[in-house]
Formats: sequence, C-alpha cells, structure tokens
Amino acid sequence: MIPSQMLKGILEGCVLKVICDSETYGYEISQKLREHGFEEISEGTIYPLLLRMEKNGLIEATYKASALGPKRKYFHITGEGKKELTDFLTAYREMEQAVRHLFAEGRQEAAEGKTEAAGKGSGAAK
Amino acid sequence: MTQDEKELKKRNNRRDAKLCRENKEYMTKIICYLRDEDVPDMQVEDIRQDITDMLLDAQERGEKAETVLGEDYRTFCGEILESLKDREAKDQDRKKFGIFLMWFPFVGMFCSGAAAGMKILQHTPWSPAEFLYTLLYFAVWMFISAAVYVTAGKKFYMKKSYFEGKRKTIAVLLALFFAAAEAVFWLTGI
Repeated sequence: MIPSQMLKGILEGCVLKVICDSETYGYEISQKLREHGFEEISEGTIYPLLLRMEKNGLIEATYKASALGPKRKYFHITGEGKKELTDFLTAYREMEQAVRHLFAEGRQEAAEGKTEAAGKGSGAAK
Repeated sequence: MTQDEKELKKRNNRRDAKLCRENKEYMTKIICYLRDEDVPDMQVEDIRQDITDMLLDAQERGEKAETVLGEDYRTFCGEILESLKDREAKDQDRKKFGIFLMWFPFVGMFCSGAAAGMKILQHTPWSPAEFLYTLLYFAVWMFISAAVYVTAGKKFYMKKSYFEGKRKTIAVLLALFFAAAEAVFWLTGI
C-alpha cells in the first residue's frame, strides 16, 4: 500500500492522466486507478481533487444520463489541463531519476564497502 | 437566494429523498460541516448535488457512504475545504471585476441621469452636444459590459442572477431615473 502522504503529491497528476485518456466520471476514475495498482482509492479520495482541478480550469464537467439512475458528471481535460499534465510528467521523471540515482549510488557504495572489507579481511588473513 | 440556487436546492431535496437513512445522515453531517465553515450557499448546493449522485450510485452498487467517502466525514470535508481555498482569492478578484462590469452601465445611467437633472435644476439651456454626451457615457459602458459578457462572461463569473431580488429593483429604479431625467432634459431643451 502506498502511504497517503506520498500519494498526495502524485495523485492529481494520475487522475489528470486518466481523464486525458478518455472522458470519464468519478467512480470510473477510482476503478481505473485501482486497476493500475493504486489500492484503496475511493471516489471520496478523488472528489476533492476533481473539485480543485475543475476550479483551476484543468478539467471541465458535463452531465450525461447514465443507464443506472442519476445523471453522471463526466470530466474532460482542457488545454490548461494538458499543459499541467506535461509539467507533472516532466517533474515526476526528474524526481524518479533523482531517487533512482540516489539509491543506485547507495547500493554502489555498499557494494564497494563490502569489497573493501573483504580485501582487508583477506589481507589480515595473510 | 437567487433563482438558480432555489432551483438547485429544490432538485437536491428531491434527490436526497432517494437516499437511504444512513447515507442521508452522513450527507447531512457533511452539509452542516460545510455551512459551519461559511462555504457560500451555492457552492454547498453544488457539492451536495455531486455527493448525492455519488451516494445514489453507491446505493445501486450496495455500498455505504463510509466505503465511498471514508469513515470520518470530517477528513473528507477538510479536503473539500482545502480544495475550495486554493484559488479563492483569485476567483474573488475576478468575480468582483465581473460584478463591477455588469453594474457599470447602471452607474453610467445614474451619472448621466444626474448630469441631466442638474441641467434641468439650473435651468441651463440645453445643448445637443451635452445631451449626446450624457447618452454616450452610458452607451459606451453598456457596450463594454455587453462585449465582456459575451466574450469572457464565464471567466469573470458574470451572471444574470446579479440582477435578481432587491438588486433587480435597484436596476429598474436606476433605469427609470435615467430615462425620466433624459426625457425631461430633452423636453426642456425643446
């Protein structure tokens, strides 16, 4: 499970991506995110994000009739939203690379440390 | 309360009736919380509409409000409030500008009417240029306001509802004052 604090920063970008792929509504967004491995994402989690994105002009809503009862609020991405999505992806890749680099360096140092220790160990044995 | 708000409230009340008792209770807590936090009525009704739809959908799937919106309604409300605050200041500035633009022709009406009234009271002879000037002042602002309303009305939250209720009476009185003053100005000029 991804901790909620970690999720907070990236969930908006992910919701935007789902809406960018096709016009959709709250419950469907939460289901799609779950399919991609975002566990425990309910409509309640994404509703405040949708509200904010709509307010900021990143998405727009239209009401459409649904087969099961009430009219549904469908969201589609705006031009500003597409720009925001590109910015999010750039920032996310930058961060991903930095984290990857940091951990790879950590692993390398650990490996070097082990080799050194092994060398000293063999030297002492002689 | 504007006509739009009244309509939305009525529609929400009708839809609310379809919610089961538990979901209705959860919903009431959310609405009370938002009202306590001074969220504007129209915004509360918009949110109520969204949440009612969500809960009606959840009912169809056999899910409870707690499953969809979380165990603690306060956490959910807190996140909503956070989202609303985000661009509030910027929105307010745009809205104020929208109200200002929509009302400016009426300020023009008042000023033009007052200028015409002064001339009448002073018994100053009417000049066609002065008469045209008082009309032009109003016409220019009417044109600017209408142009912005058509091209960017949504962006500046320009709504016809700004002229509902008491405001409608003020607008009508200003228009009558303008028309009467201009008419008398014209007649005395002749």
